[in-house]
Amino acid sequence: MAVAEHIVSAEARRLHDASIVIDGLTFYYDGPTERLVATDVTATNVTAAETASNFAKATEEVMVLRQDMERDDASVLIRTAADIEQAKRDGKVGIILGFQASLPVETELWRVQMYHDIGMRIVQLTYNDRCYTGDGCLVDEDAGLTRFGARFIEELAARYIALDLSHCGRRTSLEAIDASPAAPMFSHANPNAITENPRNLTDEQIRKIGERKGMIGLCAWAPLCWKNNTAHPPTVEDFVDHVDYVVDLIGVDHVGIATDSGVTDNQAWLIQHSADFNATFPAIAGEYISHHGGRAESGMPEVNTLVRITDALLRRGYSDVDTQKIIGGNFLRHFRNVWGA
Amino acid sequence: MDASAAQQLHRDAIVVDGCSFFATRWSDRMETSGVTALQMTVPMTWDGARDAISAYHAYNNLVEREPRFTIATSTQDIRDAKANGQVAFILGAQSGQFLETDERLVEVFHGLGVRVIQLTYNERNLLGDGCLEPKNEGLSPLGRQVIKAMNAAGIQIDLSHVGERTSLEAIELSTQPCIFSHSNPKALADNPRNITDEQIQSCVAGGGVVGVSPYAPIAWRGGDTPPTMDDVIAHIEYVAELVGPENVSIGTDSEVTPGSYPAQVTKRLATEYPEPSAPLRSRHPNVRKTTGFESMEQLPDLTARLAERGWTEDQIRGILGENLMRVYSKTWGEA
Repeated sequence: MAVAEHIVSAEARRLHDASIVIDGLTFYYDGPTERLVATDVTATNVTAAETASNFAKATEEVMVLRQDMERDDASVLIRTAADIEQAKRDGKVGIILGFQASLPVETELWRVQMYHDIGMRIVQLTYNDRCYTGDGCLVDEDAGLTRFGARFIEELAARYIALDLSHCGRRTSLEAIDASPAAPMFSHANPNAITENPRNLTDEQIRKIGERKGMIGLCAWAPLCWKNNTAHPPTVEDFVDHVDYVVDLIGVDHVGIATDSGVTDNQAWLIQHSADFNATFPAIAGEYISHHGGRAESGMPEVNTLVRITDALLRRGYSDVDTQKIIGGNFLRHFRNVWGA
Repeated sequence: MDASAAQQLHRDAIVVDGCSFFATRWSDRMETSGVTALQMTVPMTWDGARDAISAYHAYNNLVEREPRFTIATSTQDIRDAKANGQVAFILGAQSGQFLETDERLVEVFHGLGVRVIQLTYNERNLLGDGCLEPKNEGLSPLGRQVIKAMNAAGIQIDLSHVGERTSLEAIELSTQPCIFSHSNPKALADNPRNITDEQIQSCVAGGGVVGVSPYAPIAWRGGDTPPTMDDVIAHIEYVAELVGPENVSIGTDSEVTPGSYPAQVTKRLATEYPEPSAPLRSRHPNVRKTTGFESMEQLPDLTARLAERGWTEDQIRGILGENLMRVYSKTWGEA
């Protein structure tokens, strides 16, 4: 569904244009793209490698992405929070490099520093399955953070890389929150109380993020915010219900947004990714898709339609100030805090 | 059996060191030891598949350069090596990490000649928990797949360095015998690397054997005396008493070619895994080796000591190699 079909208020458009907007999770960047427009998004966490990539493969993927950025005048690599503010002033889209797995580090802690050196700023601890640091959200008996994982988290903090706990097992994530010297985040996850899904968060996980003054990026990807409603796919209002729930639980200062959408014009690549993902991890989106089909039909906000979220938050009664926090201000504060600049 | 009969027995026996590492050249130490076969730790525990392939290939190169070495992929190869005056390498690994995330690589590495794989090394890997992992959890789903693949391919499962619960689950799940290639009874030496009576008994009930090790930090029984050959004898006799002399083997955990162990590897292992050696180090800071059993070089002395203590020829041959040969033969699918 194209952006033009969604009517947003002039007030929402104005506020959105004046704000720093940060998307907590996007993927598949491959150079100049119509999907990244500075008036839609100021900066976005872009997953820089496939989730199963080992060291050699992930490093190659990061460096290919860096080369793709060199021929893209509309985007800029983000190394500090100040870079995000500068991107806003320059009218560019900031690319924050993230991994959705710790697997590229394998069991070599020195690679954390190396990855920081080549621009990585966010690393997710596990992705659905078990890895050397802990268990993912699809492991039946989550065995928790490993001995290596505890050292890994300390190294991330020492190297000023943000710890992301999305896709982690519940026990692993709770132990990681306790172990992390820096404030942790879930870059893209929702309250399980509103939409039941192994990817979503219990109240305990949400509260602990509040206690540690971390961040939760509420996720507009339909299978995580459909409220298990078999009658129709979710609307942006359903998404805002998830925002409300977390704001009620831990306050408005620890909430952000994430679309989990692609940042490439290569539709075939996205379709293939979606098919592979659903075949490998049917427990996450299988039931949703059986009722409502895949992403193309979902009609939910993506990285180029984030203004719809701004519009929905204002309609829900959020103040301009709180809306600005949710659509990017909180993530900016969080990144400044954990990146040390 | 007198001393010269014991010497003769040692020269005549199939001697298998169930755990050793780093061979780059023929060595006097190895020749003195009288070994017939060495189960070699080949990849680094942190290596992925690509580095493991290179590491295994280095042994093919070594065998080409040095005709006194050969690679054994069957127990007959080991007996042939004895007959030919060669020393046979059994290609092994001390962590399944090199299998990465794909149990199908088990068959691939079997094709490259790998015959022994230890599941984990001290910490949790993708297969299960190591013996220093505080949570002591069990096998992962991938770990269960890998065990099935090892059973199907005919690769010996080794459970030294593996966490207690993971090791017990592996023994339970495996349709083939598992071994502890180099671990001592916790009842005598309380160390995280050592194993409980339950682990020893389960291993043997599944058809496996337990390899006693002279590695000083795990041979030491505490107290004012640093570890000696007497401690190793005590470990052997404890296990023999518990599960029978036919289920004991030896894993010296020693360097085949002295000086070939890279200093940065020693440093890394000491930094990452201080727990097993910390107790000995704090009590006896300068002791690195077991007096009288410093490396594989003293294997003939072990034979002499066992003979003195009244062990029979068959029992000694068993401990030196035949017990392990019996298990290898079964798990390698020769029966």
